[in-house]
Amino acid sequence: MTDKLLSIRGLKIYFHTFAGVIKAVDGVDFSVDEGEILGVVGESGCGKSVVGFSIMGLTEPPGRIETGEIRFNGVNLPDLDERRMRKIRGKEIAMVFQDPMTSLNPLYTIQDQMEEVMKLHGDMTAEQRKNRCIELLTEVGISQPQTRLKNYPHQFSGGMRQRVIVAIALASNPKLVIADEPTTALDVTIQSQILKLMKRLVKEHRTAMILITHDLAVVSEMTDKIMVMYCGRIVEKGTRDDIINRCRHPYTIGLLGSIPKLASRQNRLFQIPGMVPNIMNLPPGCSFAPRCDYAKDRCRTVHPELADIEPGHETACYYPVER
Amino acid sequence: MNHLLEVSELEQRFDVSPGFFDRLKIRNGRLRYQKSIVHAVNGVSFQIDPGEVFGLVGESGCGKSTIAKTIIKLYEPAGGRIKINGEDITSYDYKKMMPVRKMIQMIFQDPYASLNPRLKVMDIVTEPMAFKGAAYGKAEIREKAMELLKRVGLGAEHVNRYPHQFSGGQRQRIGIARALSVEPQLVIADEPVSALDVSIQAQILNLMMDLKDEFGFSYLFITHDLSVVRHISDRIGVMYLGFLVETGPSDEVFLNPRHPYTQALLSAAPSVDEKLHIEPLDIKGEVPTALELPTGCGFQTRCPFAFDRCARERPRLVSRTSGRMEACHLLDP
Repeated sequence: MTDKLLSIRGLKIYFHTFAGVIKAVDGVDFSVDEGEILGVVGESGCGKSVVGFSIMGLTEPPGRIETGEIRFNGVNLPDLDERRMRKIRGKEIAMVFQDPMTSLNPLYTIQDQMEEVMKLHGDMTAEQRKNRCIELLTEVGISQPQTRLKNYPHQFSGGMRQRVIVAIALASNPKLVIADEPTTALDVTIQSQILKLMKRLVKEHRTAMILITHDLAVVSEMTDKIMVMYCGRIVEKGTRDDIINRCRHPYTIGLLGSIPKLASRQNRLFQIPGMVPNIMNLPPGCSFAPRCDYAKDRCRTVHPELADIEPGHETACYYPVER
Repeated sequence: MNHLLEVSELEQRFDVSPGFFDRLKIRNGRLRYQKSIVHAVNGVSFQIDPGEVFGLVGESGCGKSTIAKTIIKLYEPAGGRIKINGEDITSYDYKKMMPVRKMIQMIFQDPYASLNPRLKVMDIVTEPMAFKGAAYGKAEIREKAMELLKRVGLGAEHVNRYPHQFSGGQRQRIGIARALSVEPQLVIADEPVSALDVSIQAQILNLMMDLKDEFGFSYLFITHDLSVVRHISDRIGVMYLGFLVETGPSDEVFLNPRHPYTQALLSAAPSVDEKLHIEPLDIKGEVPTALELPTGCGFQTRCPFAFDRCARERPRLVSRTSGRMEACHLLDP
């Protein structure tokens, strides 16, 4: 597994709070190849963002990486000190955050913020930097980049800001982009513009991308591989088609069934009964068992591990649903 | 047939002018006093029949929530008429609105902000019933509230708890029980499921539809989520920049959108299964500011098919085939 750009093994991230230990991520393995888009889906609190932040080395107390490897280009990231991590963060791994309204600094111009990455990670002259900024803004579809560079974030709309953030993320030609809910705050027509843009840029530059979102529709349109998380664990992963068309885990099936269809009309939505359990007080065995129609005694006692059901398609379920 | 709700040429404007001195502008060498007005809703007309679900879709800032709040008179309308069961309520004051509000109830988007944190669930649900006057006794009210809470999926152990002890989905259930406690004829649901996770969203949508069938009220369902509106609505209205650009039966509009904006909106919608069979229409740029509306058609600045008439003349919402209406010059012969 040395040829993978990023491979994560046995990652556990716990939050040590006064109320107890929260196992936000509890044993996660996955890998991402160059030029590949991996979708991480799950409902709020399933740990998907925590995984994203940990790759960037942004796990903050009370959160702690308990065990596990995050191997990026052969280097185990949690071993690096902050100084060496800064060399990677922003240059090799970049991040696109959810909220375009707060992830830019309101006090600096767009040019300042775009050049920051280049100043930190390169030896370009001022002239070269400016040209690169203009080039990037053109690439993400912002008209009149020359004048726009001198503007402040408040002079941009939400969609435009997200374009700027994508441009900043790509400024240093990173090998991996982590996009955490990049379009959740945007309207449908703008969302589709930004997603198309990100997909095109990622494919052109052969960048790998991890797309973290709760929106299955977005994931199904954007990604090559998908992993579904529930209560800090991966319940199913595979290629896009494995998950969207041939999913076997009851939770994935329920999740897909809960989404109203666009092209046809159905009378009732499929619904998963109950609620996500409290993460401080997870049931023994499979976390999904209390809500699962297929759960048997075994599910309620021992947690199922991820296992292949066909090559490349894994699910953590004792009784994967036959379809 | 008598319409339950009839809105005609509804207009809503908000004065967002800055302070006095900031309003003074020098134009052509003269000092001018300038106001900034947001044109939130610009001449919107639609009807809702008894038992019908009317879905209002559009992107943020298109005026859909403003319409909801204007219908229930949380904002005074700036123009147009609102009729409930044929009764014109446009100029009703607070007192006269009281009996009308029993007929129209609202379910809000944010289940965290729409319940009073200091009231117990029982008090939240019984509060609207108190306004029904002497119709019910105290014991009767409690009994009715219990029944409703049970119907929306909450048990007897929940009635003495406070809102913070519930999850988002459960709170939305409380909000629904509160709205239904006065047996409304129209329920306005403003993004009721946007704040919820997918699996909870399906539960709430199913519950809302079951309740509608059981009690026979109508919904004005406001959302930006196209698959939700498709699932729940009998008829839909598509809004853009405070204009209603297209209305019609949900199935027909989704299969064959006629207004270019509807086409762009529907083709942009991501979907897990088969896509809609709509010619993809990419629109450039972004929604213009509602401070200065474009001349003519509101969509002409982004429409790939705009021609000279679009900038000159504002298109009216016209019916070309039965049941459907569009506001677009392209569709005129």
